[in-house]
Amino acid sequence: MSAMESMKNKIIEARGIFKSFTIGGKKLEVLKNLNFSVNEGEFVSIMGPSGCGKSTLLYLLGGLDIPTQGEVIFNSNSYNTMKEKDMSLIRRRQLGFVFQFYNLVPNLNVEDNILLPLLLDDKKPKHYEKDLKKILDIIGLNNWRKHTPRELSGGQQQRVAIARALLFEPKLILADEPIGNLDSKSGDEIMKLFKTINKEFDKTIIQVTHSNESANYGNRIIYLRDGVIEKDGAVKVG
Amino acid sequence: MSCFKLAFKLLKDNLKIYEHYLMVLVVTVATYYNFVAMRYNETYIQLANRLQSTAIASFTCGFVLLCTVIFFMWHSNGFFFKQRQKEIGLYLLMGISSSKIGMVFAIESFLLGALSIVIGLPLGILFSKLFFMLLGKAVSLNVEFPLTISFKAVLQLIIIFTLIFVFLAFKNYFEVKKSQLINMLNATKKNSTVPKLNYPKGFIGVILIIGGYIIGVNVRQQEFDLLLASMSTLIMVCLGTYLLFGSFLTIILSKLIKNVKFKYKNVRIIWLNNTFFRLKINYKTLAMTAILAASTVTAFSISLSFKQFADDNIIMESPYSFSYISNEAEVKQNVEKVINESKHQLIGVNEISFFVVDTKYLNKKHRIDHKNQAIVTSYSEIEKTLEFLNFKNKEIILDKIRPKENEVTFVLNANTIASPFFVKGEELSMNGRVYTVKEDIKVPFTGNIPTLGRKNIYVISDKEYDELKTSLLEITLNGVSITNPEESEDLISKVAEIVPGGFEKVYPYISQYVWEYYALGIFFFLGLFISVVFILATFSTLYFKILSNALLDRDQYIMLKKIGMSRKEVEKTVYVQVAMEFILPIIVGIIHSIVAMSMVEQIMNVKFTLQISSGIVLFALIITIFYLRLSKNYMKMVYQ
Repeated sequence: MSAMESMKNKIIEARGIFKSFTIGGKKLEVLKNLNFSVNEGEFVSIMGPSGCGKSTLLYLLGGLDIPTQGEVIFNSNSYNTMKEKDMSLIRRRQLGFVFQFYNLVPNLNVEDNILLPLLLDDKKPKHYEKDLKKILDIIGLNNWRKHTPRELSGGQQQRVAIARALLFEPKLILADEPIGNLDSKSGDEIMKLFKTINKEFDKTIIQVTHSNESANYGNRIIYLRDGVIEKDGAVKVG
Repeated sequence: MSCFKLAFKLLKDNLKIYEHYLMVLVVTVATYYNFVAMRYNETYIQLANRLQSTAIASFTCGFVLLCTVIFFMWHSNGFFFKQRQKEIGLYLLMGISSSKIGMVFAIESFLLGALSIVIGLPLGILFSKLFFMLLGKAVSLNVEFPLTISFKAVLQLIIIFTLIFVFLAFKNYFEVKKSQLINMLNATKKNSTVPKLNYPKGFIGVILIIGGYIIGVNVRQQEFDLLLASMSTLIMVCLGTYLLFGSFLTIILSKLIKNVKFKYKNVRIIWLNNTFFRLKINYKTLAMTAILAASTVTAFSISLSFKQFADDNIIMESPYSFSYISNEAEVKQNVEKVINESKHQLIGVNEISFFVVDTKYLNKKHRIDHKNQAIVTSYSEIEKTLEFLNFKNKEIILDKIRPKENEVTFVLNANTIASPFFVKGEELSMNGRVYTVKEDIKVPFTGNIPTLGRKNIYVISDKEYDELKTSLLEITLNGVSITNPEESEDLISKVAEIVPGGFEKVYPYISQYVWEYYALGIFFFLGLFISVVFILATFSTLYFKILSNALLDRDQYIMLKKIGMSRKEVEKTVYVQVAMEFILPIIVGIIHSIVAMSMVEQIMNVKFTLQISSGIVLFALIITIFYLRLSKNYMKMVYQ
């Protein structure tokens, strides 16, 4: 971590996180005492073998699930002390989510899908016309705004999902296997888009991925194995 | 594991999913048993033998009941199949042959059916005492319907329901057998298509409904042919309802979706799009629900009204214990003497005088009066009669009907239950004079006695009546009220010996008309009974249909939750979406039923406001319970 980066603010922190599930009467410990933090502007990839708890960790960071023990601190506020409503507001305004299967509303057109978080917040879309156009330009789908997801390719759908995550200018973008469902060309394009968002728009990104290539687009990798952090370090350039 | 064992295990594991379905099946089996048992009940058979219409009504009700039950089972079965497609896909993936899985599912659905018979039948038998007690009460007969277990009914029920369950089991078997693995696994990912907008169809739908309504509410005023008018209203409204949901609603929703101001407010865009895109598949169910709801509310309200009508009409048909014609003082004295010597006590005698005259309506195509003859009486005679009978609302009625010079009040004869003709404001000539009909009502006067009972009554002012008296022969009917009129046969024979003309001029208490009211009682009972099953089956069908939509919406709501939609917001959207698919067709149905009831009111010339309101309120109450339960379960499915 460079001196410059260490001066940046912590955006999210995991403190002593444990997560267990009870399956068939047996307790299964998925995450065991995780401690780490992510600073503003970082692009972190969480990697590890299947079942090591990567996605569970991402859900905990996004407040979609609660840890069995420990706490997640986002922007100096602990999720543990928040009500469901406040948690929804954080997800809506300060976090951006991107999923493997895009998760778009099939019956809404591209524009309405992107505007969804705004609508949830009772904001007037006409005030966001400029932002929408800018975002559509970034993702390169300005000509597709009136089309529904079923008329788009997988790569295009994922771009719409990224645009939706960007609309509210979130502090942190959480992506769960964002290119897991795409061919390598579309996958590369999406990762380049993430890189641009991270560098040029100074957005913090945490992604869960299986792919080394995808992880190399970021600047830090956290390796999980059997629910504990095995390695945590910067991406080697070159 | 054998197919049977596996099916048994699956049924046990899935019992929670089947909870509501099983409950409805059990109630259906129990009610169906009672219905069949009623038809095999000795007392009922005797009653039905006297009245063919009862037998026809009960047969029709039985048929409709069965159709509704099959409709319900068919739809709910489809829902469970959809819900378990992924599971079937997984079994196929594991290499189990489709015919074996089909067999397991067929056996499972059959076992479920058998379970409903095993629970429902004893329950039905247990409740039959209550059922027959209610039936006895409904027909106002002092007869007991003895409680017996009807083996014929049990056998008939087992055969019919087994046939239905076997049929459904076969359906499941063949559906699994022909299913393809990939379709099963992707069952919930099916895309809906954009519905096409068809403006002419949409507007024709609305015009048909409005046209049907106009005919319906003007049936009496315009004197439409009753059968033709009701058939055309029925066809126009039914067809219109299909077009309303299939095309008109599509147009409205597409306009709303294009209206940026509307759709972006309160995340309406979600339910708006979900409803819009699903209309193409859903509109038939919505229309069907509207029509079924209309039938249910109408059947229910009419049943209540029939009961009220029967109770109200008994006094019109039988205002006295017995009556006789004579205006000789000596005869009257002798009759009184005979009564005083009998075991009965005289309560009172109402002497009413009138003439029989020829009538002719000046501008009416249809014949209003039987053989163009009618009774003419004075206002005081009616006043006296209503006082004597202590008729309800007599002051208001008397105030309303008081005729002025050249005016008459039309009183429908006691023999006609209801007349579709409207005579208020018409002109008619009687005895060389022209009168205008001031009011058109039904109150007791002669009762339903031979010949005179079939004649309508025209009430004129006392002054005009006195003038007529000089030229016409006045008839006097003595309406006698005594204690225990049911046992007055001996007394009547004695009275017949005194009155000149004998039995031709004496009208005893027990007459055939009573049976018609017993029939109304049975209609009332069957109507209520059918309504309950209708409500249960219709709502449950829709219930499962909407929950199967929840399966399709699940991923979408999970995603919305992830991007920050709170539970409350999802809840709001879900409640509106369910209302669009559940409450909207029912509101349309209720409006249809109000028109239908207005038709019945016009035909019977009675106001059933209380009965209609109670029918609607009760229906609304049941809808609300169903709606809340449905929305809650929908929520559970999409936001677990």
